[in-house]
Amino acid sequence: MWAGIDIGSLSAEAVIMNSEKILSYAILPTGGNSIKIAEKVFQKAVSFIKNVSESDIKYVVATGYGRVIVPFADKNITEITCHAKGIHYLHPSVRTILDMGGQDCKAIRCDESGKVINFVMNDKCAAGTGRSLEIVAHVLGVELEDLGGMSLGASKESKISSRCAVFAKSEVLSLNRAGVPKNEIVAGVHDAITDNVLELVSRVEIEEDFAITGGVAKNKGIVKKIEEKTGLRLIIPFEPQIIGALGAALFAREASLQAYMLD
Amino acid sequence: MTGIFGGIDIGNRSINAVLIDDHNIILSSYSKFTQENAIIGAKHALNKAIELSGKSFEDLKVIVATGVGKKWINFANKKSSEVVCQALGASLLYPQEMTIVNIGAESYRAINVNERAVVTNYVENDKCAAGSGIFLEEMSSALGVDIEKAGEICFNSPRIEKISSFCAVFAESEVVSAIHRGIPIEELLAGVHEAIVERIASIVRRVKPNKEIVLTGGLANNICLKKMLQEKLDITIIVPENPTVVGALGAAIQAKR
Repeated sequence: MWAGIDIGSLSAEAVIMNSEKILSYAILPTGGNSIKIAEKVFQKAVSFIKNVSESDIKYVVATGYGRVIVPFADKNITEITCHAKGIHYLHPSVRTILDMGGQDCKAIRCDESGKVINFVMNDKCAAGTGRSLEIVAHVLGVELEDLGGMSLGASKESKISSRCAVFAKSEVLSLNRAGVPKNEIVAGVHDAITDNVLELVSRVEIEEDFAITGGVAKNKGIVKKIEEKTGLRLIIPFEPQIIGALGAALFAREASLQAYMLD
Repeated sequence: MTGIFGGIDIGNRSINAVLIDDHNIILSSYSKFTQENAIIGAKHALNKAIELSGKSFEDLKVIVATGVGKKWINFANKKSSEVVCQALGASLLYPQEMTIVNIGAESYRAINVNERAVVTNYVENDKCAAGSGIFLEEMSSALGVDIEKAGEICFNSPRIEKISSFCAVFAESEVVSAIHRGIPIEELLAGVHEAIVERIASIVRRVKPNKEIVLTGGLANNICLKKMLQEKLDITIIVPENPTVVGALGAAIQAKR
């Protein structure tokens, strides 16, 4: 058995697989201690499989921004490479991936074998990241998970003119104070964020099939907006948050098999 | 004709009013840190300025509005751009060739003006909070410090804790985790000021600054910011006595024209 661990800025994921399939996975909020969370999320994923302990895992690959501090990892690989690998395993037809994470956003183009051809990344600015949605949810006093559903029910949409998450926060605050219905504000926020991320995707040039991954992919409002604006149907993996960890687990399997062959 | 002329500057965090007479003499100015409704705040500021000048509303001939909220001021006779108003206002105070660096809550700009108060070049940023007053506001609140005192607190800091994030959202998380690591607040604040100065210096360099800089806007009163910017650019920086009303002064000069 092999494991992939993805330590992101806001969440950590672990995927365990054998030579046939994904056996288990776990997702936890990263919190303040990245080393501890790596162990915790790994243990949790292992605990879902009967009669298996951590020592049964032969090879571990770490990815994500915290990949270098996973003490028990045999190797670490960038999240861009892992994302392409992971999505290719689940949906081999995908050529463009939009990964919307907690504190960054990336557009990745890959070839028919799941290898990265090109990518563009924004990790300098919070616009278009999960963090900016968290801020909006907080200002409006609603749950992050509810934003998608709220916006789908909106009959109108507020215009959010700021691109910057900090300025957008003030805009959202004053719209809310002015009594604009929350679902209209959220729909406006989704519209602004979608414009931001599509600009990023256009820089790698979208080729079908087009998939979305990362925590924000669970937001139905954003997904619908992207589909409307691109005219394409998005492929959403069964669990969009584990794609990086899945890619890492696939690399762990390859590395381990290679080592076996060399022996 | 002995009339008075009014300028109002509606910013994101403050509302300012200035009255001048027909010889460009400043009669009064009023400045308020506020986020209230633009029109109510503007009327209030104008009334206060009239009261301070000892004149009456009937003496007021023309009113010009500027700033981000100018469009809401329906009682203004004219609207004018922030850049032109900064240039006119600063040139009245310092009739010389200079570079105005105006740091507001949600925008900052570098403006080159010649000795006739004509704008020869300018660069501004109003798209991103990095380098703006809001950046300092967010960081001060994360550090539990009053924004008005932020500059004094870190002015003599022996060390600067570098802030590596560009974005205000990410910088906030960075600052919070640095507090947890036990980094002293003054060192963190010094790092926050350095980050702001970095952004502002980059736009100042883009206008190819003149020999002297006049610093205006809400952040001009921050002594640490002034010191760091002066060191970074190696250009003398002048701060007017009342740096937040320079835009409103420019608007009043426009009103007289």
